[in-house]
Amino acid sequence: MNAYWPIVVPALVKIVVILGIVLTGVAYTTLAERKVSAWMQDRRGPNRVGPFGLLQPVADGMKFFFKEDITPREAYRPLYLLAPFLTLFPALITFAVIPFGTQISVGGQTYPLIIAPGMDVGVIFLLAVSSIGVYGILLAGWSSGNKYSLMGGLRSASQVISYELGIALAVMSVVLWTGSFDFRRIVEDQAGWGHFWFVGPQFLAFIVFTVAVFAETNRLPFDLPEGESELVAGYHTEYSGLRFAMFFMGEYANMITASAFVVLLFLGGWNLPFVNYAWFGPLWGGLLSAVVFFAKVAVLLFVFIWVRWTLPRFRYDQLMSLGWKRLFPLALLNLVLISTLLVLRGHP
Amino acid sequence: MKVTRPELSWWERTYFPAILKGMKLTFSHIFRKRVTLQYPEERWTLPPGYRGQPVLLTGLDGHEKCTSCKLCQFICPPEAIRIVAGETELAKEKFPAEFDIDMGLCIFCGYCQEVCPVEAIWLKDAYELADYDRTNLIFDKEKLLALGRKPPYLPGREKPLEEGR
Amino acid sequence: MMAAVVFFAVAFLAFLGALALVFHRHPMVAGLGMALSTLSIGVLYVLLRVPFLGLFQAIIYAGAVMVIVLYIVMALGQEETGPRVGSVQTGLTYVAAALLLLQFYWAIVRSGAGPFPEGSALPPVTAGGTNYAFGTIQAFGSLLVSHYSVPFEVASLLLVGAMVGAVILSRRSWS
Repeated sequence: MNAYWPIVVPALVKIVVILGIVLTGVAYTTLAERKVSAWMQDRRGPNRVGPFGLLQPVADGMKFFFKEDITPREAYRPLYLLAPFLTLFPALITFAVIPFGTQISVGGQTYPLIIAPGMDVGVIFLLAVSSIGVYGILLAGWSSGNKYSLMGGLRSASQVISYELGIALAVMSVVLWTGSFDFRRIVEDQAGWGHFWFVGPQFLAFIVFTVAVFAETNRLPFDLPEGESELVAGYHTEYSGLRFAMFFMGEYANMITASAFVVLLFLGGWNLPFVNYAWFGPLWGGLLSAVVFFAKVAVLLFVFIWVRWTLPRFRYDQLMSLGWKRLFPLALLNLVLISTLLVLRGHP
Repeated sequence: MKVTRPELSWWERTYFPAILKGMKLTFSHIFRKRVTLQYPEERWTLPPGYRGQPVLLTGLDGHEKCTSCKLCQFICPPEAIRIVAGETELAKEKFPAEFDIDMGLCIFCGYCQEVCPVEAIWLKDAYELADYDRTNLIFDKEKLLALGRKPPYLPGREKPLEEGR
Repeated sequence: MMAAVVFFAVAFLAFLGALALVFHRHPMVAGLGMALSTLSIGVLYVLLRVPFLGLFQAIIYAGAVMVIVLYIVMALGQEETGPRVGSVQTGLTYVAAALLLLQFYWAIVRSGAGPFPEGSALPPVTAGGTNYAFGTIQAFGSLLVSHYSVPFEVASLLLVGAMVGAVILSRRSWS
């Protein structure tokens, strides 16, 4: 078994670090959501727990622990209890394939900053896991035994499936451009002289992808599944306590995944213009790249929140027609354009 | 009613101009002055005529002014007032032996004050009435009278109305 | 060793899912069983060193097809089905299934395929005069557009036909 340790130990360390960062990120994204929404409405936001309300997520988490866990009588119990896990776990598993920096060299060993460095089809993995995430929503909606939950679950499922097409096609144009499903390759292709962040050459794909990602994460203006005025809270109407917290965390973890996805594909990953991480040495360069990456993700999270507190909700038929009649053809057109360009350029 | 919808250009129909305009607006609000009132530390100045906690008033003779006519009990919409009448040696002959207001029921409508012929009940400006136990919310005569003697009173009406005003 | 443990665990899950699909009274649970089964088979593909095929299995079967099936079950509001009666039809189904299984077993035995030794390199895939490492997306893609291009195009034609048919059938009136 000795041969396994050099692989297992760094992987475990990376898992712990990443889970720590992501879960803290989730907690503070909820705080950011409340703070930013407050600022945009000329309010102050939570400022009682800790300095500037910075311990508010801790208080929120404690509250979830002490709340009663209610199962409705009409619920189909096994699936009702299972559904929150099916939402949270896919949301967390995605971080296995998301690279969050270049690499760190310590003691003659080089550790790439990604949990699963051997995965060369990370992009597909991310798409696959996010498509599995629908089950949690679907089951929660159905097993609650409540028509609002059911409607929310149905809406959410159809929305996610519809927009997944747009996402996949937009991703494919980037993949064609770089010729790889590996996130690290895609990021490396956006570094250095003569290379641009793909938001430039792939602008159409960027637009399609970003809009579709908003729908995929059930965020406003596409939060039909939990449209309060029509569906109470959608698929998690009946949930309370820790199980509700799991849905909540899953939703925010998905937001972080989506932001990371956009950053990796279109915003140059951890690259900054005119900065070469080799200048900072093997250790600090790697750490700096991770900091830059998470900073970019944070900026995108802010955009998510910003859009949420700006736009009203789409009507359901508008949502569907936007997905199928606008984004889907646009993504297809983009794919054709990119392929033509690549053929003209003489891509292998 | 006939609604004339504006003719939108191709660029406008992509939603983007409207979205960007809205985002600019919300972003600019981040730097505006906050309107939040930090409640326990900062408070509203209450307007005159504010209807808060109903209290019983004491006359110049040191006795409660209430004559136990029960008009307030009859008019009270949520039936929060309960009066048990008693006889007294005073000139008014009747007095409330018991006078309870259930503050869990009171809706602060002020009808009791409105209807009282002797101006014995009055809504003052206290509004922090929450309690952990509902039984504590039933205020009896002694408590209501004590509240009636205690400030704070409304600005411009530093004292409750006196008899014979 | 590790591979064997993972294989048996995942194969058990796939089997469990298939059993749930056939025997569970509740359409929702049955559908979930099928999803579990397809997902487990995806993991088996990964064990067979074709990770992206496993992921596509997850996307297409577990992520799209089964979600739509469950969606329809949900939308129809189908509750538990009635007690199963042992009719001639069910008996025949069991016989047919057993025969299919036998045939499948026979095919495997006849193909002469055995367990491949762990850690051994797999032969490269040749397509269009170029060698690609086994199980990579390059090998898969090259084969798909060279050697198997006709079946691939026929399949896409079939799907387009199905889509057009569905649109025509679901259209209420020709106004």
